[in-house]
Amino acid sequence: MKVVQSTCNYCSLSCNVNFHVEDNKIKFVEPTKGYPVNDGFCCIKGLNLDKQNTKYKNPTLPKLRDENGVMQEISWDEAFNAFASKIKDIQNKYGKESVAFISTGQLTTEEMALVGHVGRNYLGINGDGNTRLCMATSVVAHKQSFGFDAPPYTLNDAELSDVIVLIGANPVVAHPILWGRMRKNKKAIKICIDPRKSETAMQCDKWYDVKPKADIKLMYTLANVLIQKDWINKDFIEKHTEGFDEFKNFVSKFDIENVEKETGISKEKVLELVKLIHEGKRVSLWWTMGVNQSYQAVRTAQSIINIALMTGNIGKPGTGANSITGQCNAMGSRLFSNTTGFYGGGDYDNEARRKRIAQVLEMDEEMLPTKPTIPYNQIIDKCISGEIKGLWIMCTNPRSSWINNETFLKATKNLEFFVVQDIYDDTDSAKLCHLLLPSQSGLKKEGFLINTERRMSAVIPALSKEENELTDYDIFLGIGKALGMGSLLDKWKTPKDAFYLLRECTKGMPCDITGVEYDDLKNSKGVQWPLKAGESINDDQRRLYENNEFYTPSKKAKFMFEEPAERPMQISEEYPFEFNTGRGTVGQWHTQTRTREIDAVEDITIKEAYVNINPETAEEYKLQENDKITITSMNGEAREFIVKISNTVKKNQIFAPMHYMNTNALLPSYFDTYSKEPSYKYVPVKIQKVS
Amino acid sequence: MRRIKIDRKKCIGCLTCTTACIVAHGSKDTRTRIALSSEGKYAPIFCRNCDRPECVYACPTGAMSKDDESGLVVYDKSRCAVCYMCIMGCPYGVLKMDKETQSEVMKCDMCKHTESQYPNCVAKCPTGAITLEEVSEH
Repeated sequence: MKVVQSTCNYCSLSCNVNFHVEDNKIKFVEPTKGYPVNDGFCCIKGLNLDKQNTKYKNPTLPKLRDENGVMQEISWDEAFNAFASKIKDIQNKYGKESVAFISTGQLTTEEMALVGHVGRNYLGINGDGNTRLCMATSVVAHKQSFGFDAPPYTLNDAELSDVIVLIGANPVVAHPILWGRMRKNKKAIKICIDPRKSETAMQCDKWYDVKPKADIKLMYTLANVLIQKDWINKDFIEKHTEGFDEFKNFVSKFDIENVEKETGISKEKVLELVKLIHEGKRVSLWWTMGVNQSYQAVRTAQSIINIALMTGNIGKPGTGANSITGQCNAMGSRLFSNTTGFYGGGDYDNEARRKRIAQVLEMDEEMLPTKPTIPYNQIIDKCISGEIKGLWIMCTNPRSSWINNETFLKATKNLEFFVVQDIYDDTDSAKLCHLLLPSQSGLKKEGFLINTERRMSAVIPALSKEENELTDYDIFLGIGKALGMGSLLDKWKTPKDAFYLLRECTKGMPCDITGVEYDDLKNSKGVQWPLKAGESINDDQRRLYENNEFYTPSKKAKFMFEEPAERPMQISEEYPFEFNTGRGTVGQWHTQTRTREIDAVEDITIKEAYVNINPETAEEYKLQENDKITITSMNGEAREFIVKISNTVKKNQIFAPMHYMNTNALLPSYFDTYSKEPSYKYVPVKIQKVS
Repeated sequence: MRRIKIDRKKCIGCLTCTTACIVAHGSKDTRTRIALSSEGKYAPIFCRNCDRPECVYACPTGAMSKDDESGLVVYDKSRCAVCYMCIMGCPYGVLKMDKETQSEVMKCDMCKHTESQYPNCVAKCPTGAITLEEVSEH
């Protein structure tokens, strides 16, 4: 029996698993022992990777919608030619930017790089990723505060902290392997800041029940009290940061006496929290979507970074302001998708980078993008307004996942050509397309992913491709050829070719991986970037900023802050409930297209959209467990949900798992000012019992 | 004897116990599982190693037996006739055959074969919904 070590392509932990394969069939899956991320364990999703496309098969051949609206099977050549001619027609008729693509954090790095080459370098179109939905905030926060999108930590820091602060993060459900490591750290005081008594809040030593979207005010108040009590690391601030005096002046108005009114947390409890942070010798602060998905997300993330900077909790074991990434390759997308910056980082107007990238890719500099893509929300807006006529999405399901998701349906109705590339032909988005390009799952792919702690790990095909089966990489190449890219694809023939191109692009950048060989990633412990040519790995757990140097021109980290914004929508007498969303269970992944194949998950998955409501609310509205309610949102949409009565939400709050189309239908189109990440976590709603 | 005790209220349906069970046994199948109750609540189903084990009473070959010392119900595959009597007899519906070969009863062995000799599901449960507790036989 063959044993293939590969990387799980669900969440950002990117655990390694061993596939035991016989006769091109996976006999069983076991988590890889000794792999630094998950050392012999994983979650139910990773353990069931072998189920991909077993219950829900994908067609091997593409399908094109005919004039009667019926999807008809065609050959790959026909599909590539249809794609190329239609896209070119649209561009000729309406202009280059009348076409766009939406990619994902679930492709391999080489794949997202290649689609960036075809779409951005050659076609000159806009193309964003669904990483905009989860990590864009952290990207911008890191760039502004640290000078580069470079998260400081290694996962081992969770085991080395003596104080762990989780803000808007629910790792018990969303990142169970990370929680397993935090749980193993028995000495650490674990603190959860969340409006909801989440599964993580219940397991922590302390829960601070902050009002929805008041986290930024809480962080500014913490900063002010730390300063007032002189519990700050003056030496670190002076030598390694910028903007502290302005920050100090700014936060002075966040008076502890007002904190309960502003955040819902009493003065005494806030002082307790400040003391815990002060007394910690190794404090780590971790955040994820509760922070990232907001109308003022970047500044909130930076308010957390500021706490780490002012207390000197960065660049040392057990510390850090640590953004936990969402998808398995969000980090790859952030650095190598050619959507918001060059491969390996660097802005499109950076002359030195333009020259370097053109040289590596052996392309005319003129062909490289001159500006970042327009963000996801503008792509959708332009589809609705009719400026974009052709849309190509891959490995994502925005009909369900996009915020205010009826707007995505509206967008598709105006398209002349909507292409969906996916491992399923029945996703809510795939059902709407004109051309379906069926790709193969990660089980048949090769390439690499980059996890939340910057660890590159190899995706190795456990199964061989059969006749007519193409991976996303193959499809991008096929499209490129049909478009007439010719010699522009010569350096991209295989994922390995792409890897070496990307590697060259990183030379001299903070994410320099010129010391990594493609084949060295196989059967390895992964490699955290950076690793420069000539360097060797002495430690499997490497964190950044240990030399206290950041990537800004001054090498100092920056305190970034601004006035807390008003909520774009306020609760009112008519809309008295605050609607919040998040992950439902460990086994449910995003819009459930993949995890519906796992029996153990399906057995316990509630099929209809549901919400948690407080027992007092249930009593007031005369609701019993499993009753149906209509929730009407301030965004104008109303949907039905099943009631689950729970003390985890407060009386004026409602929590809805994000995996259902009904949930995202209720959320309004609000975005962070800087990252353009959607604000998935807050909208005022009203409820009515369905009679 | 020690028995795995379940607190349904603490179960969050994370399936860590199911994962732990499969990983500990290096198999494709779990020896425990979680179901949804008729009220839509998570209901972990684990072998109780019953004091009066119907699976043992039903077994015609002695493959299922009650170990007097540990109090556990022990399954001996080499004596199993694959007659399904234990599966039919189990009042909790916890016993199943392995999916692939349908020749081995997936019976909890409290992870006695592992290094820790401690139920991996209990060790890994993040919420304390399943615990190992001493119970007096009666």
